[in-house]
Amino acid sequence: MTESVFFYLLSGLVLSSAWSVVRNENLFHAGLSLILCFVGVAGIYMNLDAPFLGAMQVLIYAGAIAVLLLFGFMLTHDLMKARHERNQHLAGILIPVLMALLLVGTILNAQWHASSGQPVNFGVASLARRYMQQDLVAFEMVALLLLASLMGAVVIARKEEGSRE
Amino acid sequence: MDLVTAYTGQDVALVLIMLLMLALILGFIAGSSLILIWAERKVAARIQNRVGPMMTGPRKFAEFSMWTGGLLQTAADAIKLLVKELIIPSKTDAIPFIAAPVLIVTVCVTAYIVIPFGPAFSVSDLNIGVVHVVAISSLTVLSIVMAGWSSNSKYSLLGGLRSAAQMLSYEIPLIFALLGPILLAGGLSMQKMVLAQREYGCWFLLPSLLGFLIYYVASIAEVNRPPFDIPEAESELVAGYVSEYSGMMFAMFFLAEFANMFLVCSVAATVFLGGWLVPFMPVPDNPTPVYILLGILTFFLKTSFLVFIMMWIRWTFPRVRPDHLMNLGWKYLFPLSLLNLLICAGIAVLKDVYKLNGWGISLASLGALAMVMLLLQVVRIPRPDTFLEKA
Repeated sequence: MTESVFFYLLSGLVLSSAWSVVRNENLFHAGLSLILCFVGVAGIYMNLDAPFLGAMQVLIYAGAIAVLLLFGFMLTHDLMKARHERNQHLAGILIPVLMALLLVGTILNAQWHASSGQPVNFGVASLARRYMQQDLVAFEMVALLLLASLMGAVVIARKEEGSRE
Repeated sequence: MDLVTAYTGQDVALVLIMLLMLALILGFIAGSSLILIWAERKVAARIQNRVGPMMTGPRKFAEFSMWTGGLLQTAADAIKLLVKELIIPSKTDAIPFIAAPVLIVTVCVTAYIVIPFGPAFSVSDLNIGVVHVVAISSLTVLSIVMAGWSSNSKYSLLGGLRSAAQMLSYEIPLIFALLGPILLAGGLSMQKMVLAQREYGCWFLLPSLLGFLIYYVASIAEVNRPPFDIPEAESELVAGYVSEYSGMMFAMFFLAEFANMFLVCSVAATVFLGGWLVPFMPVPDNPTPVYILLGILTFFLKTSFLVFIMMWIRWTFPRVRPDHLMNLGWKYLFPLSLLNLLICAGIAVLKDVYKLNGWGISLASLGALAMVMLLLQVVRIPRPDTFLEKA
């Protein structure tokens, strides 16, 4: 069962890199660990025969968002001191524990239906059809949200420029 | 228990084959880079009216010695770099510093998986082919950012910053330029792209000529080649993010640059120029060995042509200024790529409704292009200078 072996390897990678994100003293290393974590999650998607989701995870999270994060780090003054300024250990422990309880509780209580029919060929085409037919409203809502955030970013960037003059 | 079956069962063979395939790609990348670097130096020399490297290689026949003269120069350079000491400066952040060149080559090898070199000749024809290449290539910028930051040098840092900004902005027109052919082909797999062009009867170059030009420009920016080599501008940033690297680690960046160039050109050849489809030759349903060989040759010819044009551009145009670069990417290429998507959608609909053949599609796309030109005449697009004066 190659899949299980890869699953455990990837899970180990995801968990250890996630731990490194939280605990690493060096903020740049933490950022890199975050990318490793994203790539590990993408690997799990690919392992589960969802290559499109995996590729999107790499493209959007690892390739764009996390790189923008690192980009921000590079522009930050006194990066290494930033981590020690706040002490939020209590909240930092409490929230993940509550999250974990919620998730474990949900997973344990869920009714897992074993599929009896033929495996569905769930490719990109069917995903696209779904977006354009059944879930069009949700799709458009997401587009609108993205547009709004884009406009917001432009407005914020413009304001700073104006105040400098 | 699963671990035990993995060690004894058949799946091990699969893993071994995967590793073998990756090793094959790595060998291909190394070999093709040797040739490409030689070609780059020779092309540069011809453009500048020089002869280029002449000392290493056979020079027996006077007529050919112009080209064979420096044939082994890259191999000699590679051996020199291999035996050099790996210097890791003391103030660097060692782990990302070493990981960056490894990552850039890894990314390159992974992206090569889906490239269709011929009929049924790709390592794995993933059904997300194009997205796979784009997604994996987007990690290249990460490697450059890592190298730039961990070198702990102002030149490297500036190079890394510029590169991150450039690659993130040019990824968007790149992907949007590919969307047109994806729409026409109705799928993402690379082999399906080629087969769809066979079905259409014309290369996707015609329906999305705009897309091809946008893709080509954006891909030059993506691989950080001149005129978009702002991240490694040697006259101002020494060598950008590779300033602190030496020996084999430098060679890995160099190798990845050339391998990436070949990669983007082979994607362009597959998506826009028909890949392994031999022009003016009917494609048999079950490719014969002769056709497969011809197909592989055609693929390499098309890719080499695109690579040659990239080299030509490199030695002909001066470097673009960073603000011009951002203007070009966001204000011209991105809107034009949306226009290209619109044209492609129109042609896909025309093909479905009127059952056009290759000639009909070519005619329709030329008509669409003429309309775009007309539109651009009516709607005056301001030149980059006017944007700058306002800012």
